[in-house]
Amino acid sequence: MSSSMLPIVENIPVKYFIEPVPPMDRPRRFLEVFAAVLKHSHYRYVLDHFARVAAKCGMCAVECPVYQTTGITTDVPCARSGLLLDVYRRHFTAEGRLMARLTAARPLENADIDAMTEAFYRCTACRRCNLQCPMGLDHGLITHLGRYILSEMGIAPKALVVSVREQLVGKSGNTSGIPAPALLDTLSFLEEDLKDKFGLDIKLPTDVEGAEYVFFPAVSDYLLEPDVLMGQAAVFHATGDSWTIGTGYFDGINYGLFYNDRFLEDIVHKEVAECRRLKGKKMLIGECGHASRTAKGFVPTYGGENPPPVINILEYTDRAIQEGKLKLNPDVIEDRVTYHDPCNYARSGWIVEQPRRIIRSFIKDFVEMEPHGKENYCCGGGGGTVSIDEMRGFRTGIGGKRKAEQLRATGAKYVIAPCANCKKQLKEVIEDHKLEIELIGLHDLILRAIEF
Amino acid sequence: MDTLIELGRGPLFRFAVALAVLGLLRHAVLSLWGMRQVLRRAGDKRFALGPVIQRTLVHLNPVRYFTGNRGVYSILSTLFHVGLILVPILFAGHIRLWQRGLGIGWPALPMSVADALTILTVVTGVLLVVGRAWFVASREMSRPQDWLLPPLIAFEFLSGYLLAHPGSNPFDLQLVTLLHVGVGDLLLLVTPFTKIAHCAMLPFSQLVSEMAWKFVPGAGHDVVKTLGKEGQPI
Repeated sequence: MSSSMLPIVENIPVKYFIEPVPPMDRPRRFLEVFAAVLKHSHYRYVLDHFARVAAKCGMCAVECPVYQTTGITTDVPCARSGLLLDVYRRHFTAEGRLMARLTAARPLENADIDAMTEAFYRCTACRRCNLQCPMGLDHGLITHLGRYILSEMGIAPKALVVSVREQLVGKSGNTSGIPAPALLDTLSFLEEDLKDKFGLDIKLPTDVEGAEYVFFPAVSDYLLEPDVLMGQAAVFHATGDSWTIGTGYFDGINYGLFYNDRFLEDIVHKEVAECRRLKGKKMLIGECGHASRTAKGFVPTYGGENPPPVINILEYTDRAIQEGKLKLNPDVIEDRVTYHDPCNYARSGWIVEQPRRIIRSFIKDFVEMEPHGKENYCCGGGGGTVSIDEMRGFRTGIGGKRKAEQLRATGAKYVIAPCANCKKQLKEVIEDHKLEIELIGLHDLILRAIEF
Repeated sequence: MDTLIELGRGPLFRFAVALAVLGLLRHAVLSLWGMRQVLRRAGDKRFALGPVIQRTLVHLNPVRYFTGNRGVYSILSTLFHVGLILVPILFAGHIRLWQRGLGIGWPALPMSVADALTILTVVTGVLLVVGRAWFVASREMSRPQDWLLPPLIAFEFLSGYLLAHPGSNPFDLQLVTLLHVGVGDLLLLVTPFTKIAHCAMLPFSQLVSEMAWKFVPGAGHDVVKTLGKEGQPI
C-alpha cells in the first residue's frame, strides 16, 4: 500500500439533526442500553477480545482517509474504538471495575457520549483500517455497535431514522416513499424508452410468480438512475432468464446496517417475505454496496429456514458475459474510464474482479485508481452518512478528499460507481472539488454498448 | 538480597509462570468457547475454518506490513518480537531455570546468537518507545502500559545481557540479578492482564472478527423488551 498523508485541512465538525429526545440521565441510559445489548447479543465476546489485544500502535491511522485528511488523533480508528472499549472495560469487566475502585476512575460522563455521538459518524465504516491492524481489530464493527447503542437512546441521524420509519411502518414501505402505482408507471416509462432505443419489447416484469430472480435495487434508482435499471433489464432480455420486481416490497436499501440491529433484521425480513410471496428462487440485488452486503450477509442470519440465495447484479452480468450470453460493442465507449470499488463489495474481496472483467470486455481505455480493489478508498459517504445532507461539508471536504485526489489522478472521463450511495456522494465530491469527470453506473454504460 | 533473589527465582517465579500460563490458557479457551456459543445462537451457523485460517496466516505474517505506511515501525516491531520470543525460551541460562522449575530442558541457542538477539531486543524496544513518542497519533492514544512495557522488556534484556557477561557489568551483580529476576516476574504476572496477552489471543483475532458479524435473530427486539421500550414508535 502506498498512501502518504494529504496536506492537513481544517477540521469540519460533524453535526447532524436528531429527533427530540426526552430528558434523561444520559450516562446512566447509555450504560443500561449497553448492558441490554451485551445481554442479548454476541458483542461481549468480541469486545472482550478487542479490549485486551488493542495495542494502540497507530497502524490503522495511516489507512484511514478521514485521519489522513484531518490529522486529528480522535479520527484514528483505534482511538475512536477506544471510546467504546474504555466504557466496556471500565463498566462491564471485573478487572475494569476493580481498577476503577483502586484508581478512583471517573465514571461515564455526558462529554463522553457527545464524543461518541460525533466520532461514530465521522467514521464511514469503510473498514479499510482492518486491513492493516496487526491485532485484527474490526473497527467497523465497533462503529456499528457504538451507533446501535446511541440509537437505542434516541441519538441517531434524523435522515436515517425517517427513511427507516417510512420503510418499516410508512404507507409506501420504502425509503424513497414511492407508492406501488408510481413504481408501475415508472417501469412502464422505462419499457417505452427501451422500445424507442432498441425497437424491442424489453420488459421490467412485476409480480411474476416462480421467477428465478426477485430484484431489489436501491429504491432511489427508480427516481434517479433510470439508465441503470434499463441496462439491467437489457441484460436480462439478452440472457433470457426470468426475473421480477415485487410490488409488495421493492427496496434493497437497509440502513439498519448503519445504526441499529433491530431494523437491520426487520428490513431483511421484508425482503425475504417478498421473495417467498413471489416464490422466487434467488434474491438479486442491484447496484448498491450496502444493500448487497446486508442481503448477502444477513439473509442467512435472519431469513429463517432455507433462506434464498443472494447474488449481486455485477456477479450476474459477469457470468452472462463469461457464458457468451451478452454481447457488448467495444467501439462505443472511446473515453477513458475508471472504476470505484464500493467498500461493501470490495473490502471482503467479494466483488472485485467481476466488474473489471465486465469493463475490460468492452472498454478499451480503462485505468485503475491507486490503490484499488480491497484496498480502495471509501467515497467518503459510507456508513449511511451520504444520506445526511447536513454533513455534506464534512463528507466531501474531509471524507471524500482522498477519493477526489484519486479521481483527479486518473485523468478519466468517466468514473463507474456501481452503488447508489457512492453515486450520490461522488456526484457531490465531483461538484465540490470541481473535477472534470462524470459519474456513471456500470449498467448505464452497458446500456450504451449492449447488442442484441 | 540473596533471600529476595531466591524468592524471585523460586516460589514467585513459579507462581508468576503459573499465573501467566493459566491466564493465557483461559483467554485461548474463552476464545474457542465463545465461538461455540456464537454458533449455537447465531442465525447463520455456517462456518468455514479454511478462510479464517488463511486470513489468520496472512495477518500473522509480519512481512506484509514492511512495505506499508509504517514500514520502519513494523520492521522494528518484528525484530523486537523475534528476540522477545526466542531468548527467554532458548537462552542456555533460561533453559537451566526451566529445568530447575519444570524438570525439562531443550537445546539452547549459541551464545553469540542469543547475545545478538538480546541486543536487538534492547535497541528495538527503545526505538519502539521513541517511535511511539514521535508519531503523534500513537503518542496521544497511548496508555500507561504502552509506555511502560517496552522499556521494562528492554531493561529485562539489558540486565540479562549484563548477567551473562559479568565482565561488561559496571553495577553490583546481586542488584542486577535481583532487578532482572524481579522485572521478569513482574512481566509474567501482568501478562494475562495487559496487551501482552496478545501472544495467546492474536491467533484468534480473525476468528473473533468472523464471529462478530454472526448476529442473533431477535436480539434487537429482546434489547427493546429489556429496556421497556416495546411498542414505542420507530
